[in-house]
Amino acid sequence: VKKPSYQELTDKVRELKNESRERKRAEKKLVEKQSLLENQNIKLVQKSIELSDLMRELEDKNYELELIRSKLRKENVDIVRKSIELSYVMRKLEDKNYDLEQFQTELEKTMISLQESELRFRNFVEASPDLLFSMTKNGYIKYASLKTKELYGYSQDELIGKHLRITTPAKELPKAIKALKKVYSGRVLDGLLIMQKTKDGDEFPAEINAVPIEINGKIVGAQGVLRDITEQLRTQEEIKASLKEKEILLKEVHHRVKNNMQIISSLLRLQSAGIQDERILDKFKVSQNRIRSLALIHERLYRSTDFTKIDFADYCRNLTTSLFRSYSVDTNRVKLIQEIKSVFLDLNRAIPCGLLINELLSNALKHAFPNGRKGEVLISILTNNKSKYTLLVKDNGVGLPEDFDIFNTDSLGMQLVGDLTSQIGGKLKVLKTEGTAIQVVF
Amino acid sequence: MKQQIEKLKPFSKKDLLHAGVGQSDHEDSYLAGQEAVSSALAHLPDTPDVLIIFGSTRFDHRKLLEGIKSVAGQVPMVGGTTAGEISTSGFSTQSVVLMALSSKDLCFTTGIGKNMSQDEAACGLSLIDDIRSKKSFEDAHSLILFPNGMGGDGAKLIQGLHSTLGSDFEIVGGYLGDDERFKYTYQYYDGKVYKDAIPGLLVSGKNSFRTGIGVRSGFESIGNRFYCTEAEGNVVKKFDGESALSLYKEFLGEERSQRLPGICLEYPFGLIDEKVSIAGKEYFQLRCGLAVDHQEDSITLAASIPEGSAITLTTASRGDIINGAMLAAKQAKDCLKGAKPAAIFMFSCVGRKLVLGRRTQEEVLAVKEILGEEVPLIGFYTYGEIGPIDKMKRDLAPTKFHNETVVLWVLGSK
Repeated sequence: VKKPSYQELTDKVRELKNESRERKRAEKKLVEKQSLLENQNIKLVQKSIELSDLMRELEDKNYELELIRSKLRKENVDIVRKSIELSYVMRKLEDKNYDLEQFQTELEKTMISLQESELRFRNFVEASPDLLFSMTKNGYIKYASLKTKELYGYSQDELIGKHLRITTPAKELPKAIKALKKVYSGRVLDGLLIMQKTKDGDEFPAEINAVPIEINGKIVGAQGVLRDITEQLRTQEEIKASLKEKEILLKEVHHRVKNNMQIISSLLRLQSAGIQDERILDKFKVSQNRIRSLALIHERLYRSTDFTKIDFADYCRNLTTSLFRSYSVDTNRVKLIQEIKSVFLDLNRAIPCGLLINELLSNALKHAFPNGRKGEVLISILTNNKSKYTLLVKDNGVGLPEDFDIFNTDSLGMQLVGDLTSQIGGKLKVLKTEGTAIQVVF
Repeated sequence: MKQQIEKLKPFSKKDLLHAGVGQSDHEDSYLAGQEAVSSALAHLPDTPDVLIIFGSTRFDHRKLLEGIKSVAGQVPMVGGTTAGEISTSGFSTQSVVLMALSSKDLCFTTGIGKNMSQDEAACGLSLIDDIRSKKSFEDAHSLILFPNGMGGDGAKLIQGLHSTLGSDFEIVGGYLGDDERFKYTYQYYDGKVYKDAIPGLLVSGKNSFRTGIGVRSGFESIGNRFYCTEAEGNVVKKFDGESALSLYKEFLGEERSQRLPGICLEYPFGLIDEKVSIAGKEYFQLRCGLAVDHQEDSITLAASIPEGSAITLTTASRGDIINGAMLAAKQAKDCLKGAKPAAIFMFSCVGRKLVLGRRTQEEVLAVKEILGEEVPLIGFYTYGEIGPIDKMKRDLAPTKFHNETVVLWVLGSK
């Protein structure tokens, strides 16, 4: 083995020394590094802790934000929903508004036609020749038409709102109030005659017709028509007076006719005084009786209150008595039965009918009971409801000759019977009985 | 037979456009067609260039068109069934309304696209091809469409049309209806009846005419906006990450939720257009729910809503709706810049009619009051409306699909 040289050894030592020095330096550096690392680790941990704190804080913030977001969302949903709700309400309101507008248009139309109709009726009412009015339950005038000025001298304004005593004389007030009560009880006031008082205090007669005003079954007023009847009453009086005058005149006429006929009858009687011929005398008597039957009618007429009809039973009694007397027939021998119950005939039928009875009864008295034969004569007038009369003159005497034709005879009396029957539109018939029975239906 | 007695104005050579409107509610389909077209043609000095016809579903449509042809002859026709008819004489139901047009200066070209429910966009494109085969679009004023109202996504049709015509092209129209049965609509085209098509009318010609368009609803936003977070085409699944149907139900409350989907017509969604504001208010296209799926928790809309779009719920009072119609009429009048209205087309949503009820007539009256009582007017209550929000503003000019909106298209002569 080669021994190392000194030089080599020194070098080696130097090398070792350097190595040692470097190691020391490195060791020192290592220690320094180690301490630095430790420091850094601490800082790292610290930072980590800080970070984790921050992290938690952020999480909190985020949570809060989330809460706010969800709250906002909820609020938005609420707002939208409310808006939708509102738009619904809005549309409904628009609907209502539309309806209202339509309604208003309709209403305006109705109002106009109402006004027109009101005007029409008002004109009609105001132009009425009678006074139209309405009144409250307590007698206050609610309305009075324009006529009021002319009737009372009050203007409409002066009357409306006033009590009815303003136009009613004190003595008539109870009557007026009673009438008002009647209307308010639901009845109709028909033709109340009452005195009225004008603004100047003059009175005039009036006629009032009134009816209750009913709304929904409740009487809320009275309305009516008042007419000044001064003129009407005067006319009525005039007519009455004139009628009276005419009645007297008519009575006078009948009286005179009767008197004249009696004069004619008396003249005939006087004229016949000197006649010996029984046949001529009979003709005079027949004529006299005929005139007498006429005169009797006029007598009945002027004695009755009614100049158009006479009580035929009454007349008949007079006529028969006069005929019996005229032919000097004893009523014990020939009995008269008269069956006439309250028959009233007008002049047109009474005269022919009277003459008919005159003729038929005369015939019976003259021919039915010759040679003091006894018997009876029936005179009857029957009536049915159809205003048909049946006149029957019947006797139980000797009867008509076998060949007697009532429609074909020369006898003036029987011709007269035929004519008189047709004059009253009657039918003549000879009934087959014992004696004679002649019937006239008219 | 109800005859329309209208004063006939003497024809003037200055009149560049002749428009006549007829209406009939005759029980017999054939006679109703004859009656309507006869009174419309009485206003025209010569044969019509085109007939626009809207009728109730109650008619025998073939016979109705036969009746019209028996008087007018073989004339180009467009139109279809409705949920209520509109004419110069106002709003009517169970009737047919008809407008006859003739003009020396304007050209009316009809066309049709078929099988709409298979692919709305493709159907629209075939309609454009059909028209193009007859007439160039160079001097075109407007395209007016009457799509099958049950034919699918409204937005897709518009996208398709924009792709071929450019988004600035003026398109208006109304989706046909079926008197609120929501089953089938029928389309009228050149004397024939179709079931799933889009008849269209291209109006082109000289610059002596200007068109005015009004598109307004009157609906107001309620509550905060929310976002569509999941949708497939026109089926919306999630709003703000939660079930779209549940949220809608929550908004409506339990009682009204039972009236789904009918109640959707009264409370449509508004698709907020961030770029647009009208009179300081945010603008939204209305989107109406057509159907709900309780199992899938989804709502099917009349047109698609893109995911991420901002939505708001809306409502309107009857007054708001009538006011909306007035605003649309004013907007259309402003567009005309003084041109005199000569014919008005009015497409108003059936949902508006449902809210208006017995006041429906007032909407038509409001339009007539502003645009002119005597101007010939035709239209119908629709299942969807097409039109630009504001044709005067470049960014608002592209046509959109709407619900619950009234679209007015007015032809004005300068």
